[in-house]
Amino acid sequence: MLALPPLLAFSPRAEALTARLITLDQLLERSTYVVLGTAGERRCVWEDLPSGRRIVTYTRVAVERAVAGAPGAEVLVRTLGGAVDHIGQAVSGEAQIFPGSRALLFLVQINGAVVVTGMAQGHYPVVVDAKGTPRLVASPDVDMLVSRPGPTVSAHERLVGTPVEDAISLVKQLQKARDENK
Amino acid sequence: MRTSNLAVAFFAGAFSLLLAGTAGAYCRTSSCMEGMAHTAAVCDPPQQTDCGTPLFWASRCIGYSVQVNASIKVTFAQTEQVMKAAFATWAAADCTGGNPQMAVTEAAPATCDQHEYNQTKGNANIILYHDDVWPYEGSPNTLALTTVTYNLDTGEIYDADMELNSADNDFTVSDTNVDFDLQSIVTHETGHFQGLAHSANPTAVMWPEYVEHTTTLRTLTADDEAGICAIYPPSPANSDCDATPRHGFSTLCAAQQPAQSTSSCGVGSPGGAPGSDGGTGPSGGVLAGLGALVLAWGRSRLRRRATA
Repeated sequence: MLALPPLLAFSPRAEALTARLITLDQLLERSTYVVLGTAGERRCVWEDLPSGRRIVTYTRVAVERAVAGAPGAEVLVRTLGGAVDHIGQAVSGEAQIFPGSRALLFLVQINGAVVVTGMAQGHYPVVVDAKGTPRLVASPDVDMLVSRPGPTVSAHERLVGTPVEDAISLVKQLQKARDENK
Repeated sequence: MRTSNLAVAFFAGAFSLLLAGTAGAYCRTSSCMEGMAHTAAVCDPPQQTDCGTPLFWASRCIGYSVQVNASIKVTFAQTEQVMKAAFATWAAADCTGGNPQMAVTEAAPATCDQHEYNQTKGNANIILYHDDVWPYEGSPNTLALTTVTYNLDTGEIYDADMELNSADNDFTVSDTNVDFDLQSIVTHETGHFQGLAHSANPTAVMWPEYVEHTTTLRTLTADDEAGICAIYPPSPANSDCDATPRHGFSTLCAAQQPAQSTSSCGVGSPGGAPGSDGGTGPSGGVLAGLGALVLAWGRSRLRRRATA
């Protein structure tokens, strides 16, 4: 079990979300799809959401591997915040998916839109380390996290720093166990 | 820099930062125009991932409005008290020779119960709870969320709203039997509200971690103070301090505000200048309906406090 020091959870990008850490099992339970994919084009628009009118970003993600669910070859992911004309909107701990970046994404389809489950806690960019191993890192917008009391380990702690293949195996094992328990 | 290269550079930088460790450093939220415009951060000392123009409130005055219904779990009065304490904590930061030049004051309560930034109508920086349903799908784990709207070119903050997830969480306001300490959470959030990003210093209020059942984030560290002092260095009190939001103050959501008049009653320079949000009214020049009446009350309070 990977338990990383707090520094590994840090990324100096985030704005203003405060969130409880969620476990990998919770993340999986809430997700419609889990994909390893590469972000393509994106566009930002003003949109009316239940929380009010705000800027959202739609990013096209080419699915390299469907780890859970059946998303098809491509999925359009909506995230909060973005930039339209001369206005930028920073939304607190939301996943920022950069075009060209590869990531393991936990996604949930609700009301016709696909969003990142748990915001930045469901987004794990892939970076190749000095030895050439692709590993997961924390989303740049992972925000203020509330330490989870007790023995439970968060998804963040389990996945950040883990080689991609190991992370995928872990998610598949959990998914299999969940399916068997249904 | 091509976008894909930007992504690789960013994550490679982040990864090396994560693995190599780093000295404590406060960071400011920034507007980064490399590749596709996005929100980033600029830190001191600089980090590999730094990018763009730091965000700031140009007037050095902020008015905020607590949503009138507050929460069934935390009263309006309790919320007022907590918000006042959180902003006062930042205002009292020691900048070596003074305090940050930033006047934060409470404006009239908002009836609007949504995050909004209106480009042609009045605005308010709203603090609101969601008691029934947290409206962000897939994220019931969220305790609080602040949305900052800013000018991409200059970094000037136009609006900030803070939403608190009381539907899924129990906030506490006392010093004992602490669960999720509202003042700790809000002190961190108000740092973002004023333009700070997360710090790399694990002891800082702006470090991205809160330990449940604690109140430690109510108190700033030297790193937090350095951050807020860098954004708003001390200077003599500004007697012209004006906390009126962009396009005027309104306690109402846009849908409840009357349509903007197209007559020539607007004053000041027109909007739409380079770097503006393309609004049709001058900054602070358009007052909407009832909001105008409330503003008259609110502004007199703001001016008194700002010059105090």
